[in-house]
Amino acid sequence: MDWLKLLVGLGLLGISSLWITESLSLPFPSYARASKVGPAHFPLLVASLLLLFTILWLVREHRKSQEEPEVRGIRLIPWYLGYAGYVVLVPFLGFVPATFALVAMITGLKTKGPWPLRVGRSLVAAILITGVEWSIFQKWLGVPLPTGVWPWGR
Amino acid sequence: MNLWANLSLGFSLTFQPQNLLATVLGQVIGVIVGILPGINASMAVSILLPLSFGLPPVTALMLLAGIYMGTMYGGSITSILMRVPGTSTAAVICLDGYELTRQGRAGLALGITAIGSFIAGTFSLLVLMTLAPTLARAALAFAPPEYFALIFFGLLAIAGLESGGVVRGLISGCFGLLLGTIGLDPVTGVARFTFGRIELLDGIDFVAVLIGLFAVSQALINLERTRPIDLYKGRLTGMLPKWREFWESFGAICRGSILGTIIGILPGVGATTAAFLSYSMEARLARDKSRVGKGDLKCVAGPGSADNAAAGGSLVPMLSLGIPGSETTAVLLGVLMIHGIQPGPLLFTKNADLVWGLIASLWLANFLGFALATLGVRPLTQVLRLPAPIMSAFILVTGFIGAYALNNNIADVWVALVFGILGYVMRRVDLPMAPLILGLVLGPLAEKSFRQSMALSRGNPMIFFTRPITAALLGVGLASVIIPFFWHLLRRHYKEAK
Repeated sequence: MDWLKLLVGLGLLGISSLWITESLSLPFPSYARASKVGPAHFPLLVASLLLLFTILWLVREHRKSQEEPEVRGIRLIPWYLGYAGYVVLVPFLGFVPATFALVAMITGLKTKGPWPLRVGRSLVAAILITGVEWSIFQKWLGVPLPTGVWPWGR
Repeated sequence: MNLWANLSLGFSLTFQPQNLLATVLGQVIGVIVGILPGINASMAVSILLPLSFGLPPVTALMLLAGIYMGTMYGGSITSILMRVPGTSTAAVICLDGYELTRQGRAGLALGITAIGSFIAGTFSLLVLMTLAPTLARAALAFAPPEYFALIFFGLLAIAGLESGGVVRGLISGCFGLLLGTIGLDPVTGVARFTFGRIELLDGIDFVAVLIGLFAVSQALINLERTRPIDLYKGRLTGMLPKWREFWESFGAICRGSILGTIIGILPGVGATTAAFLSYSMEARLARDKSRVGKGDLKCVAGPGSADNAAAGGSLVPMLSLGIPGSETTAVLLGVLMIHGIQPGPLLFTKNADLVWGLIASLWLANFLGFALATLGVRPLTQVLRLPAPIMSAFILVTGFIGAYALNNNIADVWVALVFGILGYVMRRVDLPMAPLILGLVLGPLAEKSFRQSMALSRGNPMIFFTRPITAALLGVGLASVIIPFFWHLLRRHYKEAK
């Protein structure tokens, strides 16, 4: 079976088991007893169904494909980590410098051509995108974007 | 108020300057989004949600619904000119549309698609105007058991009709329902599944989830692969078909309009299925089967009309019952809730101005879409010159701001990031996203209605089976899951026996 499907299946089994365990520890307030349904029943029912459907899915997928597991999604990881790094950096660097760096990195690494052209293109893209986003959201819509630790941002 | 009075109220709202601007802007953005491969309507509506926060609800809805309708017009342009479907709904148009381009008849293919889309859009809007208020009036008799049954039916119908299979749809729906249980219990106020985090007491913000699932995940997928697109360099002449060509395609347009509207009304089937079914219908009905796949005008006109009709049709259950007919209408349902409007049958009476304003703006959007798809093809396709990495960077940054702007809190961005990877994984393992969204958005209401019903019956579950509407909805919902499941088993058995 595809390793990603197996991983997703195991993750879903884990989540549904966690929900079932947590549901069982939820209190049942006396004022809710008239309906015979407390805060635990609905999540318990849904989590049990999720557990059942996930098992069914895993069994079917296992029967369906017996070929070698396919390695997929590896190329995504650097981009995902890059974006996560951006989310971490924004509160410290501020929106403008962090966004400039992210856009310059993406366009610099992904566009083709001689390096001076790539650098020039990525700098222009970084300035334009950062400027447009900042103008729309900060200036026009009044969203207080993070300014970072810099003294001029305070 | 009668239909015409309601419609004139709607048009008076639509022609207010800011609403007019929102409709035009939505339509232009929609057509551009439709042209751009890798960006679909639900993604565009999700990332542009924050723009609507500061707008009145009716204006916000006009902007976002305009985008939805616009993508249907735009999607077929690149399918016909470059064999690159701008949206999944237009994928089937590539088959004969691109063949017509190769034969030097690109203008004719674009023209007949635009005319077909316009006729289909008009037909589906007529159905929306007449059917939705009637459905809503009938649904006014709903009490908590009926509401629960309705949501249950919507979830099962979406799960049952997903192309990935019933079980996958059910997994996605249950996962959405589980996410909806995070936070304070709607009846007793007990904190559930918060794991000690104060941020989770209010539950997970579904806008952050939408941004993650649609925008972040698709931008990351686009970054994985950069595919250069060849711009069409030929001349675009003869966009208006001759009478003979129009009459030749008129039957296909009518069939596509009716089929698309019916499929759009069914929750969860969507415009893509409508377009593919219409193609298969035209292929079967073709007198000269040898022309199918080699530039048959009917095989372009039918699917081109069906996807537009399905977009209009999917608004019928959303506006009348609060059950979305497609992924994008599930996002639009969320927009209503963000603006404090409870979707459901009461929408037509409590927020008549909003509903009729939206319907009137869709009429205008249909005209604008036709104008843009015929007159603006050449300038609009120039957006394809924009390099894919720049587009991805723009989407990622907009996604960040969209999630951050919800509460000016970086925690929502982390939610979007987590759901970004989840969306990517779901696409990779073919788990549908529409049931997850529906479960998350309507889950709390489903649970509340369920528990209110149980309180009404003093804990007797037979309340769901003794009321006619509830029993019918539950029965149809269950059938929509069981029938495809057994159908699949029967087909497999038949194949093995063969």
